[in-house]
Amino acid sequence: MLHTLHTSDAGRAVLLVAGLLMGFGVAFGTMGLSWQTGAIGLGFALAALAGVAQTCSA
Amino acid sequence: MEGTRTHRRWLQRATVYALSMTLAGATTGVAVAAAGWGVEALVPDAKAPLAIALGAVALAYAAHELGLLRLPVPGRDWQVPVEWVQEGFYRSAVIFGGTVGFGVFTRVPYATLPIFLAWLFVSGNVVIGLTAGLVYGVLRAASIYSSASTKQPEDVISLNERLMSFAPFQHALSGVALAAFGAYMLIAPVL
Repeated sequence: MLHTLHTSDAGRAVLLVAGLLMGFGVAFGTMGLSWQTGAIGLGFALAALAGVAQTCSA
Repeated sequence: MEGTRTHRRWLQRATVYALSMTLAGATTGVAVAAAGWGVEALVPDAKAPLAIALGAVALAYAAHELGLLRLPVPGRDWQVPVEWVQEGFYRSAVIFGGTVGFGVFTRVPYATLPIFLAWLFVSGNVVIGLTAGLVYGVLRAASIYSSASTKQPEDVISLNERLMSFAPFQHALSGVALAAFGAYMLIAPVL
């Protein structure tokens, strides 16, 4: 589904907005905690994604 | 019998390659986080402004990964020289896996890697640098085992083509992840 969405400008914008909403959701959902706590979770997700993505180096 | 021995040797070599790559990823993570720790010791109040700036950069790269704008991704078009890996059954695996595993010396096709490293710098935490570097290294190295069943050169080419076909999906996924990360870093430190 991501592949199909990625092919049109509207699809790209939808993916960008979806990502933004996710980030805002996590930020507001973890209010009261130190902001570094949420950043650690998201940072580890980035680490995993960076590792897997490098496999498809195109 | 001979086939079993050959396969075992391949598996041992693949594991040496994977371990070297994982250790190199962890080394990069520790080095970047230690640099960030040093800066934090010198400028204690810089963390939140740096995080917000990183959020803005991550958003720009989210748009890049989704194809909405084009930005240069920091990286080098350098490849491990052939002469480095011509000798030694295991030594060549150590050199190749170790060199590529650092992540910063060779081609970086996705912006998730530089943003991930920038986050380690901002975190300034060596333990996080070590563990996140290990996560990166293990997941990057694991793909070597997907070629365990390949026997002919054409099998390897076919596997490579299959992996490459996931690239557009990976770019889209990277874009979404970077947008989420960027949005969080922009807003969370000021909430």
